[in-house]
Amino acid sequence: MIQEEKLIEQLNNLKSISPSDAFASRLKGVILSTQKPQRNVFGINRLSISLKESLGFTLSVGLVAILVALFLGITPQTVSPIIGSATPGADSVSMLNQANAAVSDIDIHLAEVDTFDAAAQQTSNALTNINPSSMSQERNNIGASSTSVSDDASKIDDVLSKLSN
Amino acid sequence: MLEGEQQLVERAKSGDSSAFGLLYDYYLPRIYRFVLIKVGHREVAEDITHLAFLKAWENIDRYSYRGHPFGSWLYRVARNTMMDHYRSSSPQIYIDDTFIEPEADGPRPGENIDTKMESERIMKAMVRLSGLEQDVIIMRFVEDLPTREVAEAVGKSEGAVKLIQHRAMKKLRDIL
Repeated sequence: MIQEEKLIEQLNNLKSISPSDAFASRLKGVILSTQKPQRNVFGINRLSISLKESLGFTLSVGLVAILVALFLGITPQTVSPIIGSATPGADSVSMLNQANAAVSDIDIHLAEVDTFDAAAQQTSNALTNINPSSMSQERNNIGASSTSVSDDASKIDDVLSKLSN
Repeated sequence: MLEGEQQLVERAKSGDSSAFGLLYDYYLPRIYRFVLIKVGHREVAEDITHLAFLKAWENIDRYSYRGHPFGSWLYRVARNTMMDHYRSSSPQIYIDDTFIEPEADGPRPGENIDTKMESERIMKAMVRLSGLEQDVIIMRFVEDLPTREVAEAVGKSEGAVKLIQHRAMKKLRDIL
């Protein structure tokens, strides 16, 4: 078995390995002619970094808030009364009740309109189909005078002329 | 660690390519060696080293000094690049045409056949270690990095690195 000192010496001889000068100069030329990517302070790189950082921060805060809420046992049901008192207009239950009441009012008015319309139609039909003889008979029954309007007017004229004399 | 390394890194971060060029000159042989010993093939090692340095240049803003040299971060980039390479292609061992293949620039002065053969034996033995064990052995005994820097590069504790090193050395000695 080879001695460790001898082995180390042989390993150290490998130090004589070196790249050819042609390779070294060619590679150096290639590398130094390659433009090093610059850190763009005000450009897209910076913007993307800032966006990533801000998104990361927002997500972190959001996650922490959710974890704290879960830890404290806060659920949407426990939070809704607080939110409802702070913003009454956003109470969905009362808004729904108000909407239902308005709809029922509108329905009532529409029903009344239908009723009046039907009654008016029936009256019109009755007046169209009335018998003139039955009308005069009815007038006699109630003792109404058969004098015409022009007769009444002449009587009034007579009375006025008497008064003026 | 390269002198004035942190200043160079800061300049490179602000887009100074010449500063990165100096870092490259210092670290290229180390990173290339690290990759080549692991993959065992010169062309593959060149491709991976190429990608690793490109990634390092493009992502140098991600490096911040925390008591560890820039090299530790570069080794880490190279390791990740190798992992990506093997993830996208089936792992292959190129031990036969690897390190022993002739240098593009011809043999180096003073380099002898015995040293080459010893290095070949070590390379073949290294292939039988796990990837992490290879990393630790290369960094500790080829690159002479302190345990602390190796720990930073491989993402382990110093104690874990010492344990991995002990096991890997025992395995290597058994193999050889």
